[in-house]
Amino acid sequence: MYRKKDFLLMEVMNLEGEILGTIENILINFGSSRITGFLVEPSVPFRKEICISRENILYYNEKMIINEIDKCEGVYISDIIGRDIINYNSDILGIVDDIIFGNDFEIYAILVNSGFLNNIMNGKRIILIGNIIVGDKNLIHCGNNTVEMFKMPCNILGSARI
Amino acid sequence: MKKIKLKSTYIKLIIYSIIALVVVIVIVKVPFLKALLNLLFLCFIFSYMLKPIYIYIIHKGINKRLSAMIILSAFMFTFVLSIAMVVPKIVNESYRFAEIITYIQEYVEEIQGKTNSISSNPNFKIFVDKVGGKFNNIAIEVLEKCLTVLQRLGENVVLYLTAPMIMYYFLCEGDKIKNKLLIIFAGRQRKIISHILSDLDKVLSKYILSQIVLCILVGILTYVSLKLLNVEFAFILSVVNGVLNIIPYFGAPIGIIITFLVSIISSDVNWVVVIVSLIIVQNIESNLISPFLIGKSVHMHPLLVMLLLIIGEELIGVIGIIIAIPIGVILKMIYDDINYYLY
Repeated sequence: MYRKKDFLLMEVMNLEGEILGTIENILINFGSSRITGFLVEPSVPFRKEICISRENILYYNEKMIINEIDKCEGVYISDIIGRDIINYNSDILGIVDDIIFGNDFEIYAILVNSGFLNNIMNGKRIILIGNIIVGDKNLIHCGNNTVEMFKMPCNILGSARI
Repeated sequence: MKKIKLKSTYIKLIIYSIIALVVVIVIVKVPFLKALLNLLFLCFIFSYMLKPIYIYIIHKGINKRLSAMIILSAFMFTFVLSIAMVVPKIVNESYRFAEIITYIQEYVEEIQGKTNSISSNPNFKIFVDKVGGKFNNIAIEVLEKCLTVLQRLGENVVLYLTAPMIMYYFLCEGDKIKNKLLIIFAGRQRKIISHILSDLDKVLSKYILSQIVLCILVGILTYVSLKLLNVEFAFILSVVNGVLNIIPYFGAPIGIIITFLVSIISSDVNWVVVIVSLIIVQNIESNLISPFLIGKSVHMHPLLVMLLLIIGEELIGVIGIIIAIPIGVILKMIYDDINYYLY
């Protein structure tokens, strides 16, 4: 599974090996719960930003190889990040911190930041995409609270386990 | 088990902090180490600025070592040529500058003579003496700092002569040096630090190169406009304006004010035309060229930029203002990456 940081600043190349630029933003369609494309900032100055759709991606790992440049539609992830997530009682659960999506660019869940200390103590809340309604200013969590998922902080100072 | 793990993490953190503190104290106390680290840091900065050109030449099919040699030779040639051209011009124009200061002094004495009733007041005399004294102290402080820098350069001149060789190896074997340095850290941390460095590289290299290009562009445009208006000291003023352009938000207005003051005192030009031409130059740079060169990857809120500049100036001084934004970008990226790896 991936998060936005796995793709932001990734270099994009075409089939001729020419580096087109780096990924600057991600386009999302909440209706289909998918990433529709990426906005690429060109490496050559004075060029317009280019958009690549999901269907034109041939390969991605450390760099991305695309077939051709295309138009794509969707909401920029930078517009969603930082928005409040509220429940039906108008309680603010936190702000949108990240999205979690799979190999086929299907969005599974949203990561919620509920404060620096709260994140360290209780972890970041994970809300499934099916339990989210996107509004103009906020996002509404419309799921029930019988099962809650949290992503706990891990020990980055420890050594890898064999 | 969890308590023991937490305890060992805290112990590790304490040990790392103590080691870092000891290293910093040793570096600060031993002068030779300080000079060596300054040299390495300067060489790293210069080779980092040349790295995009180096990568571009390699992509054209030229050998790594040959590319590094070509770039360094071109850089040293440009450096020596610019000193050979710039220094005589600055010296020539600074002779005329002394005449301007004498002219200003005579002008102030004339004003004092015309305002006899105020200047005969003993409190006013004390005030004028104090203000004059402050200006003198500031001028002496600035001159002393310049002399100290020159003295340190002279003491370590042999050290600085090795700079081109160090820059050559930073360019063509930078990746190997980075891998060797990362061996200090454990495997998992090495991966995280390597990713952080790679992200920083992508953002900073573009920012630093574009800032240099913008400063040179502003300097050239200012020189052309001042020369067309027959303003005295056009060269010094364009250099000052170009250097001050590094400082975001504050650099451009300060450069315009300095250029405007010097040009109206020294030359017989229409001050409105001077201001309008300088504002046009700054607008061309900030609205037409800068957004395309710097891009959105270094996007920081203007309020945060101003706070960083103030903190940089308070802590380090003029150099603090120049390096405040790159350090802010580095800290922001490290925070984002640690936030990502922590969760």
